Parts: sequence; C-alpha cells; structure tokens
Amino acid sequence: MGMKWTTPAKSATILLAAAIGLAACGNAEGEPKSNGGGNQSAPNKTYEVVMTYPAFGDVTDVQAVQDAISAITAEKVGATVKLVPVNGSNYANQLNLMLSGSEKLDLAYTSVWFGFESQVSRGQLLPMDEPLAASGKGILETVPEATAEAGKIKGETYGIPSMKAWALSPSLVMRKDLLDKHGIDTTGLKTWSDADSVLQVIKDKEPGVAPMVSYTAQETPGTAMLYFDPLGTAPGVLEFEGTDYAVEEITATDAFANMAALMKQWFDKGYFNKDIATTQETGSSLIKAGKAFSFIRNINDCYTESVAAGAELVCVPLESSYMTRNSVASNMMSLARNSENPEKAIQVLDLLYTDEAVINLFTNGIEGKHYVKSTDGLIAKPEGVERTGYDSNQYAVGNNFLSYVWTGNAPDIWKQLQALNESAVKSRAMGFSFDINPVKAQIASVTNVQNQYDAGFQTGISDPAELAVYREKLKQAGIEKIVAEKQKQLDEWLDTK
Amino acid sequence: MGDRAIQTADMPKEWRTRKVRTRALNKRLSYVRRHWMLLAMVVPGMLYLFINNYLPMFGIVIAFKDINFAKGIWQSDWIGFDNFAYLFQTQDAWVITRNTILYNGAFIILGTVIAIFVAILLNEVKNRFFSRLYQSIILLPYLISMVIVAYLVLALLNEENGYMNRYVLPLLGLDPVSWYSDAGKWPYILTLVHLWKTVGYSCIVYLAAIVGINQEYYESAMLDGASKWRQIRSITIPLITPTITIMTLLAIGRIFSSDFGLFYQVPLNSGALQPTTDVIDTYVYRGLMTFGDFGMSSAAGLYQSVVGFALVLFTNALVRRKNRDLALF
Repeated sequence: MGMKWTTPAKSATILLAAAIGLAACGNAEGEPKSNGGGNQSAPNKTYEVVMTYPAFGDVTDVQAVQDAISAITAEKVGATVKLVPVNGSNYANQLNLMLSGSEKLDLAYTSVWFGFESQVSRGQLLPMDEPLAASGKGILETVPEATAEAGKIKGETYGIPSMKAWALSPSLVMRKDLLDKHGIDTTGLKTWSDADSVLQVIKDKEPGVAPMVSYTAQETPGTAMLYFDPLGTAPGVLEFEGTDYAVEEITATDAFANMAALMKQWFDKGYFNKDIATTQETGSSLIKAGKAFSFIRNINDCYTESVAAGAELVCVPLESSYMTRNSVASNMMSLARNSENPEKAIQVLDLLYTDEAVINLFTNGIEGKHYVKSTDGLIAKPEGVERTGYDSNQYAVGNNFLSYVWTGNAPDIWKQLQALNESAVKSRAMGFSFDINPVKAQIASVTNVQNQYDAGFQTGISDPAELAVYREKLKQAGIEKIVAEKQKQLDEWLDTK
Repeated sequence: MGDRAIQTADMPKEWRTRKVRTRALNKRLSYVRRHWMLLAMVVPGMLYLFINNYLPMFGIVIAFKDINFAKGIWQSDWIGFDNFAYLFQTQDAWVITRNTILYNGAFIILGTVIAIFVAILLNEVKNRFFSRLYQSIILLPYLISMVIVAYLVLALLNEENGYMNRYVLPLLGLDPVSWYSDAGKWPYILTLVHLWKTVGYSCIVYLAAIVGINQEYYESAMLDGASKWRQIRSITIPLITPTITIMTLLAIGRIFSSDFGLFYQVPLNSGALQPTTDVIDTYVYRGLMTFGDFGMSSAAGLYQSVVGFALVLFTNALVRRKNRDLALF
C-alpha cells in the first residue's frame, strides 16, 4: 500500500523543516551603539572622534558626558567626541566586529587579553608613532618610556597604556571580620604554605564558610602562585629573578610541581569548596554572600578588592610586586584602521592624558550630577542618590592619576600607586611581544590541553602524580615548538635592544 | 501535431530551430502567466537564500588565506591548507571527531524514535485542549536558552547543593557523585538533556505528517480487527517514512556540526569532562578564543560543511538505490 510520495509533498516537508530551522536561528546580535560614519566630515565641520571602550557599570547618561567633553575638545583641538561604551563582557567580540567592518572608528580600547597582537598582525590597528610625534606631546611626556614599550610591536607603537597601577602583587586576600573574630595574626605569613594555619582555623571554627575559593574559574588559587612573566598569552615563561633570558615551559618548573602538591594538600584538607574547578561564582560574590573566607589573586590594590567583595579585606602580599608587559598592556588605547583623521584622534587622546577636566568627565561624569566633591577634596555619589546614570569607569582609559579620588580611598592613593609602580620588580622582557603566527596551530591545540588539565592541578583536584601525563599531552600538542619559537623571538628582540 | 511536424520539416533549418525555440519560450511564458502568483511567493525565499546562504560563500576563500585587513580579503596572502593543520595534528583530532559523530548519531537515532513515539501519542489524544497543552509543555524546553538549561542542570548536579547529591542519591542509599569531574557519566547526561530539549520541536514535523494520513486507512484496518500496535506498524510508520527519511538526511548533513550551547554551556566548560564532552565546535572555540583567528575558524567551518555535504550525497545515493521516491534528489 505504498502511498506515492509526490514531489510537491516532498518539497513541502523540506520547506516546513527548513522554516522551523530558520525560525530557530533568528536571534539578532546586539547592534553596536555607534551608527557608523554617516556623513563624512565636511571640510569646515569639526571632526568627530569615535571612541569605543568597555564599561562595567551603568552608563545611561553617556550622552550628557559626551556633550560636556565635546564642548572642551571642540574648543581646544577642534574635534568632538562620540563615546561608544560596550558592555564589558561583550567587548572582545564587539571590538573584533567593529574592527573588521567598515564602520567609522578612531580610538579603540585594546588589551593583550582581547587579542591586541592578532589585531596588529591582521592590520586592524594603525601605527601611532607619527601622529604621536606630531600631536601627542602630552602623552609622550606622561607615559614613562619603559611602560610605553609595552604597547610596541616590532618597534612600532600600536597602543598607549592607560595610567594606573601596573604593578601586580600576588596576595592572599582574606576577610578582616573573621580574622579579628578568631584573633588570627597575619604578620607571620611569609610563604604560600604558611597560609595553612589560617585556613585550618577557619575550617575548624566556621562551618559553612569555605576557607578558600577561586577568584574566577580562570583565576584559581594556584594561578597567582606561579611567579613568572608569562611573556604574552602563549606558553613559555621567564623568571623574574636572575639575568638570563631562558624561556621555560611552566609545567616543567619546580614552582609548578610545588604548587600542584600544595593545592592537593589543601584540597584534601577540605580548605576549598568542592566545586572549585567549575564554580560559576566569583570569589568576591562568595565573600559577599558570607560563604567564603579568602582567595588568592594577583591584585592591584586592596581597596578595589574590598569594594568588589563588599567587605573589608586584608591583603597579604606573598611575593614581591611585579610589572610585566601583560600587566601594563592589559589596558590601552589604539588607533583603529578606519580612522579618517588620526591626528585629531591623537589630539583628543592627548587631552585624556593631560587635561584634568576631560579625564574627570570621562571617568567620573559631571560634577554635581554624577558625583559631588567633599571638603577634603575626595568625591562621592550625590547624597541619597543610588543610581546616578554614570558609574565611575576608572583605570581603562587615559591618565587616571589626574582624576579625583573616591571617598574611602587614601587621599594620596595615586601617589601610593605610582610609588608601587616604581618599586615593583620589572620584567627584563618588558618590550617583548610574541608573534604567535608561526605557531598558531600548536597554540590552538595546547590551549585545549591546558583547558583540560590546568584547573585540576591548580585547585588540587588532580593528583600531582598525573603531571607526567599532562606534560606528555602538551608535548604531543606541540608545546616544545612554541617555547622554542618564543626563545628564538626573544633572542632576536634582545639583539635589537 | 502530425501536419505541424511536416510543416516544420519543410522549412529551412534555421527557421526550424527558431520556431522550436519560440515555441518552448511560449510554453514557458504561458506557464509563468498561469502560475505567476505562486512564483511570486517563491521570490522572497529565493532572495533570502541567495543573500543569506550563497553570497557569503565567497568567504570560503578566507579559510585558505592569511587575513590581513590592511591588504583586504582578496589581496591577503594565500597559504594553502595551513589553516586546517591544527584540526588534525594531535590525537585530540580523533577524540573530537569520534565524540561529534557518536553524539550526533545517537541524537539522530534516539531523537527520531522518541519524536515519532511522542507524535503518535499526541495524535491519540482526542481532547483538543489537552492535546494542545501537552504539545506546548513538550515544546517548552526547546524555547529555553542553553545558558539557562546549563543552570537547571547545575541545580540538579551541583556537588554540594544539587538535587541529585542532596536528595536523590541519599534516598537510594548511594554516595554523592562529583558530577562535573566524572567524564564517564556525561554521554548519558548530554543525551538526556538534548532529547528533553529537542523532542518537542522535532515531533511537530512528524505530528504534521501523521495528521495528514487519510483516516480511511485506519477505519478499514479497524474493521479488519487490527490492534493499535498493528495500525502503527503497518499504517502510520510506512506512511511517514518519507518524512523520516528526509529529516534524517537533513540531520546527517549536520552530523559534523554540533549544538555548541549543549557541549560548551551544559558541562560548564569543565576541563575534566573534556574527554567525553569535547566536540569539533567546542575545540575550535577554545583553541581560537584567545586570538580569534578568522582563517582557522573558517577552515573548521568549511571542513564541517564539506564532510556534511559528502555524507548527504552518500546517504542520499544509498536511499536512492533502495527507493527512488524517498531520495532528496
């Protein structure tokens, strides 16, 4: 009884299936806020500098801020600005889209964590040396030469670091209330393993509180214990101590093995929450919820950590503060390929590094509306206002040392941070950037192996005895080739120095 | 017809071909005139297909290039198959290919069987209100974002507070399981989640086919005293076989691509689960996330499409050999 499967019926079924499939993929990507470069600047019109950057707070009032900044820039350099804040969690994707299209964009926030080197090698960013020499005097005077090195690739500048705390301190970050409650003295803490005594107290006396958690799924306790210059984001690290330039494979170092052993010990003693390797909550939010006591992280300053966790924290640095290219080049401004007037763009950027009014408008908003100044010179949110419509967006852009200090910080916080920057151990390879192109395929494979094993060792879930397996897999994925390539490029860089 | 043929035979050769051509053209024109409305309805779909599926195809060249935006896509250097190398150079290549095919194979088989089963059950519900209600309830998971599904699964499987470890396993007298580090359990978990999420959607197509079956077949079968099971086996299944074949062929075309959300979000990107949850899409995503390489990701996409295309051709040929009417083309 075969019913004839006629062609129209066949097509109908295919169409039906296809239609349902189509309906399912109709989720539109969030449009970037910028509406592109509609009217090309007429000769007499002031040029509009479009700038994009990540914003982590509420920026609904950005238009008002943009108008206020434009008023100043129009007068001083004959250009207006258009601010395009992008939600921080989408920024990396959004930036790649904006840089790939033909959309008008002058200044773009870039970062080694958001693919800065790849953007340069794909020709999406413009070299900045010439326009900087012509119209960026203020920038060149403000950014120390050693730091400006971090934004260079093969001797050419592609990014200007923002002025902020560049030094990172690997620290044990703990809740002050619990330290006080149990009368724990932290002055004796000198090495990572010393933390054992503190964690044991919390484990014994505070049921329901995890003595230690990961800061994020990527920043596990073991991450900050690996005291090396990572030399970019690909494998192959350099020790801070010493004078040689030997690139090492991190899992082959004693430091890694010791870390894995200590983590295993802590995990077995129950210092970590059980889902530490996959947790979706940040250390800050767990502390805020009263479920955690401490985390280990490379921190800029303790105040920022306390604000994020909503609790007073004690930060004990257990290694000397350090500065690497990564820590500096994680916040930069670059010139986008589509800029129609690089000179004006740099002039505006120059104001962000030298003009107190401009940088304060940008980071803190409009005085009286988004913040008020108190008598001691510090600033705070206007009395009784919870949502100002423009949350302070510090550190990412410009010269933060010119901006006002928020209440709760030491009034001389900028001086302290600058001193920290100066005293920090500086990596010998500050201006070295690794060109991943020759070993891209190996990096893609190694990244997958790392993703499978790293977190296990850094949270003590994996037995250090399995380290050999991990290293064998890395070897198969081609890690030796990456390390050799990095060594070769580092040696070449040394020759040019 | 007869004398016309004679007439044309008398004409010079040129005229003859011209005449035949005009006649064919006339025939086509009259077809258009008669069906212009139907044809007009096809236009938007064709346009969509052209703009969405055919225009971007030039992007295939990106897979063979070292993209540099300063030079532009066309001027960028050709690098042959270099962009494909990372897909095949480690033993992971075997693991991800195996995982992708096994998961999708299981999804196709189980998904089809269960979807048909559900569609038959739904068809038996004679009360319209309940029929609609059940349909909506079964469809609901399909409409939930994978990110939310991941958290629903986390609520079940969380190490300390999850429903399974807290209530279900103790009730059965079993020890708590560390779900997110036990790779062996995930083939089952992911299959369950996939079925729960997609069955409601795929059963719609089958339900539509079943509803379209002429009731007279069933009536006469009942007169002959055929049981429900017998009716399903001898009427329903054979009559929806064409639909099953087409749906399966279409699914086979995508056997090398996988539901990224399912394999990335639901296991919470846990490294320990990678041996059983890593598929081609997640491998590519993880490997390229840090440097976002267009060439290498296009290469992966092209590889998946080419293999999918080859598999469709192959399966279609198999089907064609068995039953010409059932084949897609």
